Amino acid sequence: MIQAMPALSAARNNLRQLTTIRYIALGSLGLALTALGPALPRGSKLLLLAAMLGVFTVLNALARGRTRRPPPISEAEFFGHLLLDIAGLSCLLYFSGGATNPLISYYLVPVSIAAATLGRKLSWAVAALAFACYSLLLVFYQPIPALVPTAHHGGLNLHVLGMWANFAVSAALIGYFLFSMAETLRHQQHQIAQQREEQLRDEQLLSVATLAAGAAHELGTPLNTMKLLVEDALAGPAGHRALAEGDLAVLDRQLDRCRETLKKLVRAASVPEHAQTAQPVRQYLLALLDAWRVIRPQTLATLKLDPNCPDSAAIFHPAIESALHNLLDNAADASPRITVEADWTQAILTIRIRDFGPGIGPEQRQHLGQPGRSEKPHGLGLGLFLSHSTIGRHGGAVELRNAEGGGTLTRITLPLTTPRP
Amino acid sequence: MTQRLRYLIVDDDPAFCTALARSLERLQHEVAIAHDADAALARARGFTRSGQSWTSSSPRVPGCT
Repeated sequence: MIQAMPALSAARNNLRQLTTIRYIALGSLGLALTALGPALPRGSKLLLLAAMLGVFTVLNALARGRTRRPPPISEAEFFGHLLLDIAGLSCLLYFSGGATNPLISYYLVPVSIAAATLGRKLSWAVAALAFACYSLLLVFYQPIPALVPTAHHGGLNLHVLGMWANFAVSAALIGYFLFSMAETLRHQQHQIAQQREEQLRDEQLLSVATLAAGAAHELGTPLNTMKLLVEDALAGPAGHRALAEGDLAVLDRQLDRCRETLKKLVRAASVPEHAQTAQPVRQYLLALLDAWRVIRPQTLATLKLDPNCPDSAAIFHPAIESALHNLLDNAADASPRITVEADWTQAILTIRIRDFGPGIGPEQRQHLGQPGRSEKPHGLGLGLFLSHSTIGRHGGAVELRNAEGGGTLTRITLPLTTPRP
Repeated sequence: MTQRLRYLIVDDDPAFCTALARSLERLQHEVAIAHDADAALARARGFTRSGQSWTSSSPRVPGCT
């Protein structure tokens, strides 16, 4: 069985770790300031630096608190936290010797974190910004003479320039290689999730096939009985063919048996509801998209939930999550930016996934959702087919059409199963 | 008129047995019914060697494994 949602999303965990890193850094800086402060010449902005550390500590505590609040942490928000790090570090460095301060190499920390956790564009943006700040600090800063390496003679020191060049190379290497490694890991994670889904699907298919074979066998006898009774009636003289009262009752019972058998098959094909617990719809959707963002960090996905929708809870079959992820994947394959809108009543959930890709051609539209057809050069079209059939099995529908202004609009409707009281 | 045969129908489903027996009797055949293996064997012993028997059984007939 697929876990409906991770207890702690990756973004949340990343932010929590980032705040821990900051606490360690701020603590070390505080200690350094206390130890070295008296040794520094008059005119150093000791008080100002101490005040800044205090402010950053408060900000960090707020960020830590943010990890405990429910709204999911988007990639953009995490990016914002890293920007804050760079801004804070730049302020500190500006008042404490700029690029001559050995602390300047701390810029590599946010660059590394970004490369490991963010998409390509955003992680490069962090690296570029760190590099830009570093470069500015070569020229603009309030000097602390004690920090300047020896043989200082007015202009830019070669040691400082060397450190700067070293930083540029390090940041580029980290940005490139660490990002690739993290990407590989994410890819593997995605594959494992996919394999798990496939296994679940296979198991379900196998159990349905076994049940179908049993049902076919069970249907055989009542069908034979009915056939015999009807043949018996047909064997009578023309014009006087009729079924005896008793035979009608037998026929009726046989039909009931057929219906029961089929009902049993349908029931068995759906996962027992008692095995699942109800989840609030809003949280379910937020967590679903959050989990998906971890797998596809490059895609900018905006989620809009109608705030006027009821705070209802519903039971979601685990296969629904895979089906929705599949449809999100499809949209993300078509364009790097997608929007997801959802609204619901007590009875029905509607999700609209909009991408800004090339849209659907008229020829493709006819074959959408069929196995063996795909819009992707290497896809099999099976994903869309399975999403269609999964949503369909739960009483919903998937509809794809060209959106106004380009792109594809995938509209999913799904009846909500509310928990029995 | 076809040859008159003796049939032993073995099935756990009484409705099916009855319907099949009636069809066969209409064709002037002789029919016996059994719903489990023991009864079937008991009935089969009474059949003569010259008679033919056709047994329809499902895996769920009690006594059959």
